[in-house]
Order: sequence, then structure tokens, then C-alpha cells
Amino acid sequence: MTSGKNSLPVEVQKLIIAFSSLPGIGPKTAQRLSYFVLSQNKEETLKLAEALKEVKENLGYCKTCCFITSDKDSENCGYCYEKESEQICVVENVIDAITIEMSGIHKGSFHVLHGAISPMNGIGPEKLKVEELMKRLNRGETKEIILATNPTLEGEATGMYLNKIISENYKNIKLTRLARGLASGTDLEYSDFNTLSNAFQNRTSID
Amino acid sequence: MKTPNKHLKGIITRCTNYKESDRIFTLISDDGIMKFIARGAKKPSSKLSGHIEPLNYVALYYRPSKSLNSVSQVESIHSFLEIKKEYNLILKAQYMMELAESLFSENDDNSSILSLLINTLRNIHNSKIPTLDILIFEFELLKHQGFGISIFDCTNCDKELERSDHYFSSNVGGFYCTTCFESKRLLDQSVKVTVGQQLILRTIARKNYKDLISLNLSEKEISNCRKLIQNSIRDIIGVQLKTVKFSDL
Repeated sequence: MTSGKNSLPVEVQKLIIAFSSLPGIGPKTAQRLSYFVLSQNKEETLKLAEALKEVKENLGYCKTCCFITSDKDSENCGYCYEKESEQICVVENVIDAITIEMSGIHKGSFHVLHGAISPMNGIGPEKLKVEELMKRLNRGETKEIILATNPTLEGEATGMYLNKIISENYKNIKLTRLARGLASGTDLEYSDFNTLSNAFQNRTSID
Repeated sequence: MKTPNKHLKGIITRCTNYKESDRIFTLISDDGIMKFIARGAKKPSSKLSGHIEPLNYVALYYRPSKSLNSVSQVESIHSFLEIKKEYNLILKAQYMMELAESLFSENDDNSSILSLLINTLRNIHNSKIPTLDILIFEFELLKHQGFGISIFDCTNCDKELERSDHYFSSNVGGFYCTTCFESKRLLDQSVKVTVGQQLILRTIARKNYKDLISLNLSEKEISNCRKLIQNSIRDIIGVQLKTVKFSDL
């Protein structure tokens, strides 16, 4: 009899490999999850399998705003129809759009880039949904672009790149970005130079 | 027994989000390349959050561990804000960090490479030709790590090179004199280098950086020199760096 992982049935080995492909899941956790799936009753496991299948078969990304949609074949998703396209908030990921949407602050539409420029990971502007954004701007309905990329090095680089190409090609579109500075609940003592510099530059008068 | 905290200074090159609110980051320091985990660093109220960013020169305290070292305190020494304000400079800085990462030695003293990187990053935003600063950085880094390019003599016969066009081979990391080149018939492995390009490399090798400005160099000449060095780097580390294509923007 062989010992170790190779002695496991092929189906279990496949499941372990599949789980370890998920972010944050290492081989040990993948094994633990696989044994949990084995111990679960059939109905529960099939529910999970069905949910995974449905997500991949029925959902896709909107060709206009690149947000998740169930109308993956149509040009505009329901979300694009509902929202005004005069003001577009550009975000890195779907989760960022959902966070802003849940706050109820932004009334316009979104554009999801699906990442940020990261040369260290070989990600350039061509790998983001920038072309789709340009197509939207070509329609001439947009008056303002709000750059809501993360205040990280990659997010800032993405914002600068978009600022450059939009200001060069679309002179009538107003470009804004989310304010930078001190976050609520932070201690001034522990703030970094970048945050402090931004906070000073973007200081406001007290009315 | 609890392991005592250790202190380290270095530049953060990469950051990745981990779990709900943790960040894993890579630091290049005098002691080599190390990975750390900053627990809770993604939370806005975290004392670590703003300091743990790529391209930050930081001082940190950490608890050594068998897996990932966990940081308890981080303080920025220099954030290179001038670089972070310009898209092209960010790309160039990322290239230099990846290059330094790939040529850092594990057990040797890396303090001089770290100082070279910090000094280049400190000066690049004031430079009239940033690509020239990168060329000097690449050249000096290779030299420091023992892969210096032989510029003054033929790599085959050791004879001093005359003032004329010569062929450069990235495989051997130097030039061939005309006689050796013709006898070896190495045309397919070598690149022809003009007298002007050789002059740039010689001036850098002599550390006469001020003379470089008086040479009125064009971007194209610098770019051609950088291609030679980049081919050598690719041959040394065995792969093309991901950031190379962005560094010329």
C-alpha cells in the first residue's frame, strides 16, 4: 500500500487541488475543506456545487460598465440603464463599487477596471478595462469622472494614467478623485508622511 | 521563552492583502530579502497602514518566526513622495526595486546596494534624464554583484580596445576586439556598439557622472546602452524582469 497523499482516491486529490487554487487557501486548509465536504451530506454538497456552477454559467461582466451582470450577452446591464451616465465613478474592483453603492453617496454609474496598474506583477493598462471606459466616454454623455482607485501605489499609478489619457483626449470632461488625508479614528502621531502631506494639501477652511 | 523583537531598516518592494485585514510585504534590507506579515494593517485605524506601502523606506520592529515574521512597529524614514506624484517615475522606481530584488544576495552584506538604490530613488525626480540615472544604477548594481561589464579590454584576449565600433556579447558580459570577433565569428550572439555608446559606458565606469551631462546625450543613445545592460541582466538572472517594459515609458 502506498502512503501519503498519493494513496488518497483521485477524486479527493482533485478536490484538494481545486480548493488550493482559491486565494488564501493553502494545501493544509484545502485538505481540511475536502474532508469536510466528504463528511457533509450529499444535499448540502450538491447545493454548493450548483451555486458554483450557476455563478459561472449565468453571470458575466457587463460590456459597458464591467460590473457583474446576468445579461452577459447584452450591451448594457440593468444597472447601466438605471444609473445616470453623466457621472462615472471609476473603481478597481467590483467589491469597491458595492461598498460605495451601499453608502448611498454616489448617484451616478460605475466603471470597474478589474485591477490596477502593477508593473511588479506584469499588469499594465492594456490588461485593465480602460478601452471599455474610453468607448463609454466617446458617447459624449459623461460630464464628470470620479477616480476612486485605492490610495495605494498601484491605485495612484492607475489614477495618474487615467488622468493623463482622459485629460488629453476629453477636454470637456471634469476629472476628480476621492480626497486623500487622515481617516476617521486614526492617530495623528502614527500617520505616515504621505497621508500627512495629503491632509495638509487638501486642508479645508472651517466655516 | 518569547523571542525578543528585532530591528531592521529597508525598502518595501511588494505588498499583498491577506485574509480580512492583514498585509504581507517584502522588504529589501541589509540582511537580504525578507517577508513580513502586518496584522490588521488594512484597517483604517491601524498604526501600520500608511507605512506599509511599496516604495517606502521604513524602520521596523518584528518578532522572528519560523514562518512569516510579524511586525509590531513600522515607521517611515523616507516615502519618496516626489516619485509617487509622477506616473513615469513610479514605473521606473518599480523597475529598480525589482532589479535590486533579483540581484540581492541572501547571506552577504547588501548595505551598499541598498544605499545605491536609496540614493538613486532620492535623486531621480530632480534628474533631467531619469533613464540615465537608471542606466548608472543598472551598471553599478551589476558591478557590485560581481557581474561587472568589461568595457576597456577585449573579453577574449585582454587587449585594450581601440577607439572604434566593437561587438558586445551579453553572454560573456563584455566586448570583443575586431581580431577576436572575426576569428570567432560570433555575429549572431553579439551586438554592434558604436563609439558614442562605448563612451557613455566608459564615462559611467570611471564614475565621471558630471561629464555625462556635457556629452549632450540623446534618449536614444541611453536607451541603446540600457538594452545592452538589460540583455546582460536577463542572461544573469535567467528571466526577463516584469517591469522592464514599463521602465522606458
